[in-house]
Amino acid sequence: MIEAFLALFPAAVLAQAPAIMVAAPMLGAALATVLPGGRPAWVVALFCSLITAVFAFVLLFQTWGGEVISYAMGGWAPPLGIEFRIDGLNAPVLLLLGVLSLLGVIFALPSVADEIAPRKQSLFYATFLVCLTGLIGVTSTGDAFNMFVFLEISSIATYILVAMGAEQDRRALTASFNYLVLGTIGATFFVIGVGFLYMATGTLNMHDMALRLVELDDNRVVQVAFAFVIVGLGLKAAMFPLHVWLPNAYSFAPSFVTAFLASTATKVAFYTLIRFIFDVFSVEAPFVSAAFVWVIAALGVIGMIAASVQANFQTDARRLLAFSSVGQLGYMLLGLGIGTAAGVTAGVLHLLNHALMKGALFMALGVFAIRYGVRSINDLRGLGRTMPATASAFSVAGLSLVGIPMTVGFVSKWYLVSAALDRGWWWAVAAIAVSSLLALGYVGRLLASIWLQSPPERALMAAKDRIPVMMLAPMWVLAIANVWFFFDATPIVELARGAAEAALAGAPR
Amino acid sequence: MSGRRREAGTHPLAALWAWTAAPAARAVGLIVLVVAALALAGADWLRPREDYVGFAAAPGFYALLGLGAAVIAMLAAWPLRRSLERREDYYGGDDGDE
Amino acid sequence: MNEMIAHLTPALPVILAGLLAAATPWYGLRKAITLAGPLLAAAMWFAVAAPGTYGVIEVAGHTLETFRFDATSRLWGLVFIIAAFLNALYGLHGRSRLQDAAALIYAGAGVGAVFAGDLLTLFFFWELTALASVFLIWASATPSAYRAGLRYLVIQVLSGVLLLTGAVIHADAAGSWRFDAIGLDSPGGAVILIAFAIKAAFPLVHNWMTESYPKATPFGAVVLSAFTTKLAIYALARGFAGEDILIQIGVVMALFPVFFALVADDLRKTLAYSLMSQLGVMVAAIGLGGQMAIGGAAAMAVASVLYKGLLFMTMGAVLAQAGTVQASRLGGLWRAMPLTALFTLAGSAAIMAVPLTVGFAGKALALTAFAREGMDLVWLALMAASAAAVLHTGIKIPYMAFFAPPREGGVDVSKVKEAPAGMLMAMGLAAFLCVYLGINYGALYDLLPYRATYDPFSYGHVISQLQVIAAVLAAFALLARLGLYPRPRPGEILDVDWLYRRLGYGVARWGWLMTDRLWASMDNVVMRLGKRAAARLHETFSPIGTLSRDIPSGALTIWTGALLALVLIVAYFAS
Repeated sequence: MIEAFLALFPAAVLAQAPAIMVAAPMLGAALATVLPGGRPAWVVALFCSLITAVFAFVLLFQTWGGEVISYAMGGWAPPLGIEFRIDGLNAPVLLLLGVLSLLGVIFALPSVADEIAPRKQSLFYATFLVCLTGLIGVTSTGDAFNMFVFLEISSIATYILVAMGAEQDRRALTASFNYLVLGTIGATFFVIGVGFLYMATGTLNMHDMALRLVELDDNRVVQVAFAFVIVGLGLKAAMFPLHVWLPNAYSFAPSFVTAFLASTATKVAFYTLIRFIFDVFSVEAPFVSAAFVWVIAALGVIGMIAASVQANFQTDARRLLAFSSVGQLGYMLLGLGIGTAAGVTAGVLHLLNHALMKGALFMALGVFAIRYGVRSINDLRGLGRTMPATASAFSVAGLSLVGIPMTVGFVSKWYLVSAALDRGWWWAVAAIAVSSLLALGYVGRLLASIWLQSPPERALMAAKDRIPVMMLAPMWVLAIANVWFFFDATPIVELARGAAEAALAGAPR
Repeated sequence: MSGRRREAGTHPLAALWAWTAAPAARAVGLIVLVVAALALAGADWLRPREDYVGFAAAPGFYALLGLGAAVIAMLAAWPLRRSLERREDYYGGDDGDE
Repeated sequence: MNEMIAHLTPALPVILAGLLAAATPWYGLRKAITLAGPLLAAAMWFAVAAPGTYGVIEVAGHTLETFRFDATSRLWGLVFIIAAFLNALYGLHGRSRLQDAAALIYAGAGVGAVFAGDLLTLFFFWELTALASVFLIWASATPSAYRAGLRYLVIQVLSGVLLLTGAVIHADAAGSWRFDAIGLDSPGGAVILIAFAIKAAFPLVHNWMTESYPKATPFGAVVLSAFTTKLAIYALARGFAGEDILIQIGVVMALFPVFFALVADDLRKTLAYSLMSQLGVMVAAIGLGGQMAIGGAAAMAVASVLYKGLLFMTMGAVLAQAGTVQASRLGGLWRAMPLTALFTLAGSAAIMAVPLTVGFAGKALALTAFAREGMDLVWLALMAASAAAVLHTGIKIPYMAFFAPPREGGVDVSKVKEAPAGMLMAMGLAAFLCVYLGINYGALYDLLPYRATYDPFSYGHVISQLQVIAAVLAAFALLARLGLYPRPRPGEILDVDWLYRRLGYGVARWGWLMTDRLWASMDNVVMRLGKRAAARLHETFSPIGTLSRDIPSGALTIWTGALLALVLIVAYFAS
């Protein structure tokens, strides 16, 4: 099947696949800015994200079985030129980007039409494509400084996208500004770290860097670089306690932006963390392995409990889910912190699964918003009666978030618990149990409000205009995926396992 | 129904239990139950039982056990209830916010 | 593949019927589905030719045994299927789609758990029983039922989480996920025992039952009483037979609820405490171990499903028809509901263990096992508990509801109607089974896990049981005459749930207020410190320097700095 799929493309196209991934949305963005209205720009965005989705599959299949694609940008050979390097670790992330941006764009048309002023819509889609370009670039590049550039491209586009929520709620502006300030701090830390690394190794190519770092375990400069990189990327990934920008950004951004960011942006940042910790630095370096236990795993555990507690006290549904995202990131960090192949597998698995859950949840909230304009948990009451289908999809994804069996959430928690037990980390298992109970608490609040309370009078009176199927279809695809991959977990588990192998293979020692 | 008009809300089959409401039912019931209990206990002296537990083979043991258990349970309930009973909406009724 | 279809777990048709019922708005069709599901399951049960493990599926590298049909599981499975059918019949007049679906999914999960051959499958169905059943409580749609349901759900899910945790530890140690004798040698076994203990309503963790059953809908309490606790008894019998500690727990569990059952005003609460007492006898028997005791526990579980189900059905009928089951507001209902009264008496007779009822056949086996082992004191305590059951359930339930003189200001009997036909049929069928299995007790004994060659109808047994019952009846009549019987009156009787509903809640509330204040003052301190320590960072990224007062980015900068310091320190000391 893989051969059959790849045979559809001419060899020349296949060879250029990494460049096409980045180029398509970049050119699309330029095109979208000059288009007159929202709809043509949307068609461009749809086309571009379709291309990225298709080529994400191409790259995934090309790297299946541990192959590594090294693509020299512009023909300048690495380590001097910029290299795009696709392996088992970033191919799944690219796939996630491609598929979720495609689903997101399909969802976007009615939602954006509802929330963004018509004359801004084409620019909105252009900005989205710039953001996508940046995210794909971050994921594919093999060059540390190039990664910084793409990280800033995606971040700046994200600030704009978040600020677009100002038409619904002026607080989106301060949220975006906060995000800008903190994102810039993160990026600055990261680039400082990269600078130190360049100082120590004399190269910017990450693979090359890794080879040279083997000799430099005791080098203080390298250790300082490690600290700056971890903190900078941790901030981008909303690692607890550096998550403060995230709840506001998620709760005031337009619905589509939240759904897209929640399932992709922090995931990409998390990918960069894995790339640096495992691939550039090495697990065997003493300062890295110490950081695993005392920083990554510890913050992961604290984050997954503290953020879940905080989620329990929220009144705004999107804010609640945003805090939950911070908590869920704790699981992924814990997976990394375990440091074994099983741990990284669990972390990446949860990364993929969490994108499925949160994508569906935020999309469902977007559907609720377009119908009733609801935001707070209290406003959700009775939606089980007025919008049973969407409420069901929301519930499925919510239960998956808790980790109930028959959903993918269970699968990733399962792998995480097994990985923790392999290392004998009982406390981590206990923390996972506590955090799951807390998740049950906040998801229970949402579901109780939706299913158990009676709808307000006006909701029953409101005209039953149809929800556009373009919003429902992507939401249902994600919700069903949440159940489907429990019963057929092999594909995602294999993806995660491949990613873990690629991450741990690292530089030859 | 013996020609008497059926009381409102009475089920046709209620005749099955009409005897329980007879004026003498309570007094007679008490006498019958006490006599029956005594008679059954007395059977032990006429035909000895065997039992796995030694002391249970004693005549009248089971009657005493039943009597003791029931009396102790009923009498102990008074002080226990006095100390543990609270008003009905102690935990907040249907409209309190617990 | 054919093998798989031929031997699917009987849980499947029941759960599927539940899902179908959830999607079927037409009343008639839905009721047909609710009845057909259990019947299909029964057909599948009878279709199994030989004991064995069927329905093996592979999920994510684990082998799940979904249909282990052996001497222990077949009995429980059959009883659960029968109970599911009786419940469906009882709910024939119910209009609630939610309850129909929840009842069937819950029953199916119970059946599935009984037939689970490995701990993972067991866990899956274990949690499903919790999740499905809570809707039967919430369906009452009162705020207090909602809160009781939440507490119920938390405790039940906790049991599932503990089961999974224990299972992981146990499987790690034993090298297999099989669900067989577990024992308390490994820490995993202890954790699993706690999980089972919660579901079996051991003392101190029993309040989920005594609190939520009376809050459930009339139909809901019937369904709830059938599965959860009996499933736990099954799991204990399989995993922890012969663990001595269960004997002591069982004795406490049999005696401690007696008082609560006696004084409870809500008759369904009486039934819940009475159920707990009965479970205590079963737990003690499991703790004793050995063929006869386990057989007795199994027989009692079967009997309990039948007569406790029957009594919950009759009290549900009273609640549905008269609007209350508070003993202080009932009395004289025989006039309006003579048939329900008859069936209640049948259930009472069974719980009193009158010879020729299923209760006698079950109890005789379990208690004789203790007598044979020479455990005189335990035997005496359990005998006393059974004698008390005659009082607090066998007499109290029918008397308070039907035969006591009507209370002042209570329910107006003349306005009450007899229960609808579906309820009467279900009650009648259950009553029939209570008597049938008491007379033809061989049919029950043949299904027991261990071949019991025991004749309950010896002269000594029959006469001694009659003596006990007669003595209790006479004592009740006498003390009631003297005004010494504690007549039920409205009020809340404190149980250990006070610890978390009052004390724990108060402490948590206080703690929350305190932490809230603490955080507020901490915030102040952090902000003040932060302004000095991070002044340079502020200057570097000037736009936020001015904004740190009213937005949290300033605070975050400090966190960023602190984290950087942390990573540096870790890296420094590591090398």
